Amino acid sequence: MDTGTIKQILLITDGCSNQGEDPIEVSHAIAKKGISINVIGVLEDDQSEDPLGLREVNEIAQAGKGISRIVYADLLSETVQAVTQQAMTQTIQSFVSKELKEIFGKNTDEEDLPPETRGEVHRVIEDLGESAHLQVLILVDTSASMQHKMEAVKDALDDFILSLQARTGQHSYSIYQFPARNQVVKELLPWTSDGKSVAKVFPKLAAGGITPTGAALKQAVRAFQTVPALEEWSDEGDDAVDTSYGSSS
Amino acid sequence: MTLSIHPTVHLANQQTLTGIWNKRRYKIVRKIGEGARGSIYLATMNQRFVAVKISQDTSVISREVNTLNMLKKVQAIQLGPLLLDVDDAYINKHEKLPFYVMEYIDGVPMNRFIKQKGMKWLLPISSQLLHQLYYLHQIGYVYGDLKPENILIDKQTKQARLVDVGGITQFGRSIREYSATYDRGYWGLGSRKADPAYDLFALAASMMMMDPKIKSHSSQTKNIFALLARGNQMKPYAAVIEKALKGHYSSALDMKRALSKIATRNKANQARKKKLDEPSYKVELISIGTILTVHALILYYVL
Ligand SMILES: Nc1ncnc2c1ncn2[C@@H]1O[C@H](COP(=O)(O)OP(=O)(O)OP(=O)(O)O)[C@@H](O)[C@H]1O
Ligand SMILES: [Mg+2]
Repeated sequence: MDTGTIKQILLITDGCSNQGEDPIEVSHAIAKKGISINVIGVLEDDQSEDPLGLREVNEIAQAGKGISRIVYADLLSETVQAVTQQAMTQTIQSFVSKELKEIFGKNTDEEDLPPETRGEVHRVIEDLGESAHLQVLILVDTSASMQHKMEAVKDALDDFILSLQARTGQHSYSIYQFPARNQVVKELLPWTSDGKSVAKVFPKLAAGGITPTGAALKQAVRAFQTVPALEEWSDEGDDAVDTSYGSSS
Repeated sequence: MTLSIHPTVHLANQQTLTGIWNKRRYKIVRKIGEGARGSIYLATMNQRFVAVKISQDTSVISREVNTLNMLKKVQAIQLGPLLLDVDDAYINKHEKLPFYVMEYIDGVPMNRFIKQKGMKWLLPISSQLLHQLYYLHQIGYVYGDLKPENILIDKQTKQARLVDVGGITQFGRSIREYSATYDRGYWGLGSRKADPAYDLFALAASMMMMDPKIKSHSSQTKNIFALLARGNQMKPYAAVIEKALKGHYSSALDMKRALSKIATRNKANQARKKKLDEPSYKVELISIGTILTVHALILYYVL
């Protein structure tokens, strides 16, 4: 079995998008291309656990077949790692489910197997999770309200790279910020697997401006095209994101 | 598959879980733990106490069951709780969830135990843990999520038991379940790739956290050596702890031997003090006694 490359976007944000395209629809379209979108909502210290403004966080992840978590800044580090891991397992699980269907006939989920067999299936999922090539595009919301959370974001990403580097499989990551001066998104770091790069980009990060989440996702996802391994990313597929969804938000 | 929801499961006291596959019935007594990966309940099966772990996340149960089965390969000692049953059950009319049943360990977490009974327990407990880690490492796995909350001291036997096998990881793979304070990666002192030294770091950090002064300052610095220096109670063990933090012990046995030397020295010091106070005719007797005690201690820690 070969799952090839597992592609994820990790969006770190603290609030609802307030400009441009509907991020939920963009997310849905991106997921169709086999890229899952994970979203971490960062709370203010005085915010409750389930603020209305962050509802979008869960919706974007759901549309993007990914995982979402809403946390205070000090829990960011462990959350980034856990979310990525879970989303990866989820992707592999749905892939393995398909294979199971072929072997056992229709509608065989891991849950339908007797517990012992399930253990075997899980072992396969684990092995794939450890060895698959993992590609994560990190998209950081640097709007004004995120300003005082940047230190926590930097620490969390540093920590995340440490976990990536411990894997047996290959990995690459890139970092984008949104918004940026005169741009919706800005590439801070092109695809790399170098652990020391995070420190280099973060001093440059200036936070400010509005939150065009949908548009930012749509533009950032193009970065996956520049990776040579991504043969299945056709021009035709790209149109799926570009078709006009309108700014329904 | 909805992994974004929290994996904990709420069961009512007195509720009965009936296994769909193996048909065993478990009566829930009360919740004993809840974590990032599921919920743990105390239950009875034929009047016998057991612990039930249940989770919304199938992969958590599968993974831990695989680990518990793998641990059965270690014949010399019981590592982790004994696995008793694996099954699914309807927790209400509509919801079917996976669970596993294990031996219930009636114990007190290491931190609470030491707080109640005193620091003199630190060496015996650490020594027992190193003994267990040694066997685990022998079969090519690290414990991973080693921290005081996951170490239960059995009330009856006073044996340290490692619960929560969720972090157990094969050598060379990435450690995925860890807690920052006990993770060498967090302190900038190494990778998250599983090797024996990873556990020894976590054990050393766990030992440190038994000193209330160190624990209360733990989030204020990212220099763990500076933190170690803050606690007076760790003075006798500081050299060993520091070496473990630096990854200089390649085997759990090496660290265990180093700790037993401290234990021997402590005893000898105590004996010497005593000797000075005793009348001279007792000296002979006491020194023989001391030699015997030291031997007994060496046997206890080295074996
Ligand atoms: N077999 C057992 N006997 C007695 N108590 C147990 C047993 N297993 C677990 N516990 C208790 O339940 C607590 C939570 O269990 P466990 O650590 O397995 O859950 P978890 O979801 O992995 O939690 P976390 O992610 O926070 O570590 C343990 O810290 C321990 O106190
Ligand atoms: Mg635990």
